[in-house]
Amino acid sequence: MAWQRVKIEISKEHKPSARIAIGSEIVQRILERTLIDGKDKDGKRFSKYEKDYAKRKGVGVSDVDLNLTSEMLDNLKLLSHRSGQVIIGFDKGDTELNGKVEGNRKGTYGQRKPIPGKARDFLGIQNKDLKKIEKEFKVTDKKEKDLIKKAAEKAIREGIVFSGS
Amino acid sequence: MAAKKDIARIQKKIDRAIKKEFQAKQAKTYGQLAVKTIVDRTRKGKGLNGDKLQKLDRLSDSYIETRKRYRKNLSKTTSPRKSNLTATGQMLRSLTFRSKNRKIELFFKGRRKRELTGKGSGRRNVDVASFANLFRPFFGLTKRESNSIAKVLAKNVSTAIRRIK
Repeated sequence: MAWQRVKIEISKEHKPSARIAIGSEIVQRILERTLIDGKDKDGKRFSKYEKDYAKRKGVGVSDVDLNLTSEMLDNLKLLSHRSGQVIIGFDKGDTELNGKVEGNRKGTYGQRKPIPGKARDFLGIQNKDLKKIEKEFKVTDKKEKDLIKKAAEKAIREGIVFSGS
Repeated sequence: MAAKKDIARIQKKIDRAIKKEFQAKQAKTYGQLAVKTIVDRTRKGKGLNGDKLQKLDRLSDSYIETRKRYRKNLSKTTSPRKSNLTATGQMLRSLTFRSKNRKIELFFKGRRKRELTGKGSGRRNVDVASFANLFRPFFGLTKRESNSIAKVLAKNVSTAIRRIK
């Protein structure tokens, strides 16, 4: 059983704290997209539930949100980050959970081979969404320079005092 | 929102770095620069008009005659007709600074050893400067001048921040 995680490339400009924030936002986006929109990592609607399963779950066949006990999605998190990338996924040690995630992503659901058309790969993010998130956290060098410049000008203006004349 | 948080984080770092730069040891750089700016500009015959520089008012004819008479006592940085707030040069030489409560205070230090006539008067340099500043304002910095000192501060802050990261 493979460890369920996804490596997402981001700009190398982001500092560690920004990478953590970006990672958390990506997790948030995946959860919203899965639970509310019912869409996979490519923005496509999840394939419908089997009638029996939907009945047991008490929802319509089209109301696919991959959420039954909420155990799986609750455990999605930022695993690690380094310059230019964040890794989102599940703890390596939890084999049962990784199995469940793999089942959903590949569409195996306990079978040896994937059931055609039943793969619901939620682990990932579309480029346009990633760009939006990155933009939010991007404090460019120019912006930083401007902040320093303004602060320095203020400091000199207020910090140099003329006495006795 | 998140970008704002990142900006706030950087701003905090900038403020911390500026505070450090205004501590006694580092403040020397900015104090010296401020003194040099005022002294060099004044020796060139330029004073202040609000936030702008302007040529210092010309000297009165009688004073020019006095300066001619005591030419041998005149500082090498002036001439009898030159209006640059310099006779013996003691006043501008006495301009100095001290670092106090995270501020850099510019002030005129000590008493005069001799006047243009060659006789001692015991007047304080600060009194001479106060009088000169009334009619030929020079003690201060224009926005452009303080911004050029701020550029040095900004460079040092930028380096300090990179070190923190």
